[in-house]
Amino acid sequence: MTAARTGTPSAELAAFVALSTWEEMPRTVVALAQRAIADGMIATALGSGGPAASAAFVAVARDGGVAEASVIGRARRLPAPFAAQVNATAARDGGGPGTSSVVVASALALAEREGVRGSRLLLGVALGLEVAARVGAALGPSHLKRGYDLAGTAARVGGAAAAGSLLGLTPEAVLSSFGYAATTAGGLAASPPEIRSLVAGLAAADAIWAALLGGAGLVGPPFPLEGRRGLLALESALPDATQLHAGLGSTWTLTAASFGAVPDPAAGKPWPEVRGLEAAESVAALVGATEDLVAR
Amino acid sequence: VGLVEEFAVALRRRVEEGLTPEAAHETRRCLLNVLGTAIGASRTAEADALVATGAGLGGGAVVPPGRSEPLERHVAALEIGFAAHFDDYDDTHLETVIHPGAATLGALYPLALIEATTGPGELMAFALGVESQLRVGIAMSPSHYDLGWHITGTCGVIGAAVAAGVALGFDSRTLASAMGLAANFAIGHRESFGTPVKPYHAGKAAMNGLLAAELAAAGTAVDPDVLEGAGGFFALYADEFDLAPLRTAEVEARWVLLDNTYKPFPCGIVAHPAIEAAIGLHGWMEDPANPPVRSVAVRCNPLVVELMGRPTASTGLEARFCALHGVAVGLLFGKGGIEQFSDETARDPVVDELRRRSTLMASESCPREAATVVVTFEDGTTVENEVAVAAGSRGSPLSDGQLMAKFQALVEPVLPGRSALIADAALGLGEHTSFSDIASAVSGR
Repeated sequence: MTAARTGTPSAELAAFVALSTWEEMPRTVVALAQRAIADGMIATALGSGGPAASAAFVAVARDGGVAEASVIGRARRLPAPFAAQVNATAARDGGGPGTSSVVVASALALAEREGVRGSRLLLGVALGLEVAARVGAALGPSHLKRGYDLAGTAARVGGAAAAGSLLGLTPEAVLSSFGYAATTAGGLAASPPEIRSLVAGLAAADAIWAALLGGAGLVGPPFPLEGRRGLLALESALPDATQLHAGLGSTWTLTAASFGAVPDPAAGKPWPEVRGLEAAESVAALVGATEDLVAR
Repeated sequence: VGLVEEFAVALRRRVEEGLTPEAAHETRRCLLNVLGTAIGASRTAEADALVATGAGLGGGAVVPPGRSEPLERHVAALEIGFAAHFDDYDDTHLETVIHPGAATLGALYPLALIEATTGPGELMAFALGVESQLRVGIAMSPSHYDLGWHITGTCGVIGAAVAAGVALGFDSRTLASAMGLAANFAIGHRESFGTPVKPYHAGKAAMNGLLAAELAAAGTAVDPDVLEGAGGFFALYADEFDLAPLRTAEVEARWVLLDNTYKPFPCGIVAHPAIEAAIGLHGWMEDPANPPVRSVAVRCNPLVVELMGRPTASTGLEARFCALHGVAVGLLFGKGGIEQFSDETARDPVVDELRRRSTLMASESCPREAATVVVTFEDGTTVENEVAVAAGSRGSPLSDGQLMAKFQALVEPVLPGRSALIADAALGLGEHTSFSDIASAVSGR
């Protein structure tokens, strides 16, 4: 109760996730969220047949489970954390930007499980992307220089934020979920692409676990991000915790550049590996499904 | 050949050579202890929350020890590792402060049941799960832990991957891939100490290690220098490290799992000497002829203040990081079991009053395994007790009998009447039992 109201960076960020409303979302932010979802679904389809997604699928689908969320490209549904894991692996392997691949995969799987769509889904994705961008900014360049991978670190917290928003968690529960997400932050940027994709996949699953456990009443530490032995202190040489909460709600850190270079079909720069899809109509179908999913 | 493959080859050679009798015995002691802690905490409110979330996902394949719900294999690994470390009562390697048994058991238990592996292979898998993570931890100690990493999580992932990989009969190349993947799945910040995120590390280590092994089995390969490279595991997770413990010569020289220890009390190990000293003074506290206690002074190693210096505790989890709580219950009750570290005892006003009258006095000259407790009564008289080598330390390990008594105390409240059968199955692993026998004994079938 108290921690979320003390104005510390983690608590303020958690309150921002829990209390922000659709009406407060700037149009530019909503557009970025829509774009991230569309890009994410296409990248997932492109990567779904690759060795990374196949390995992830075999690993997590053995015992089956409740058909909560779709595994794109596999005509199968799995429990949400596992569906997100395969999808995020595929998305990154399919050329999707690491951070948004994780956030979008977590959000889509949990939204499908919870039956959430339209503006509530967009809100969750926007908040998740913003949190990931802020955590990445707080970690700063020294984080990357040390050899970390934002898809395995900041994106875990962003994914938990998206999932927490979709679950309608309280500020206190979102703060707890940040504890479960932040502590799993890892992954070596020097690893080969296939492994970096698998890291993104695990990050998406961990983000959902964090939100589910925070929502189930399991508590975490009060300062998971900025604490003396928290994410920023351990995984950055020169962290800037003010980036976590300065101007929350009025200043948006989220930009297209937050996720790396995103190809823009509208500007005549199609997905570089779009030929990897078996039929052109698959792309059209996915875009159509996305538009349906995020229609307000 | 990169370091990860050299290490994998050396571990595989251990498989071929087999366990020494001493290593086999210590492995079984570790298994017994960690099975006890996994069962002991299996029905806590926190385990209930974790299991409710996990069971809702379906895919039930394995029932964790002490529970009734079948869980998907990775979820089962998560629950078992979580429960095994929950009470901070599991095995501890003092040099690194790794609790190696929890993640190892978490990864191995579901896999062994699903794959119906054999006892000797399971014993070796458990031994190497412990051995490998301890060696990775030794290589980056003390720098890694001092930076703020929870070494039980970070190294536990690698140990869990090795346990799963050995159980699945991996060759050295696949085992190397499993370890390299695990290095990418390492987790655990010390910020979480005192919350359920800490035992989540052991559970997640089990889950991630199992995943790493499965991905390796599917053919995922890692860079040869994933551990020692410029952007590799050690460079990210430590400022100073020494790769020798992973080299062939040192792996062959001895089993470091022999240095594993078992806690007599369910709290941070650095406070154990002080608690033992306090228990020794319990008789004085009970004596009605003595006036009330004015103050308690604890002379201890500075690490006690650093790691367990919180002045008071309002929950059982906080009590595990409050040396003065352990001293207070030792003085008041003459013991320090699970019940003395419960939420209820943490909030007991009598315990709280004694905690408030107590002070830690760090002394550089006091060894880690020693402590002195001095009680001053209201009339100014004092009694004191010094423990030079605490029980459960390397110098004074818990005997097999003491370990069995601890196991019974952990298991009987959860599974009445079953502790002896479960212990028989655990202590016979590789001789005449397998994990399936352990599971049968746990379930009462």
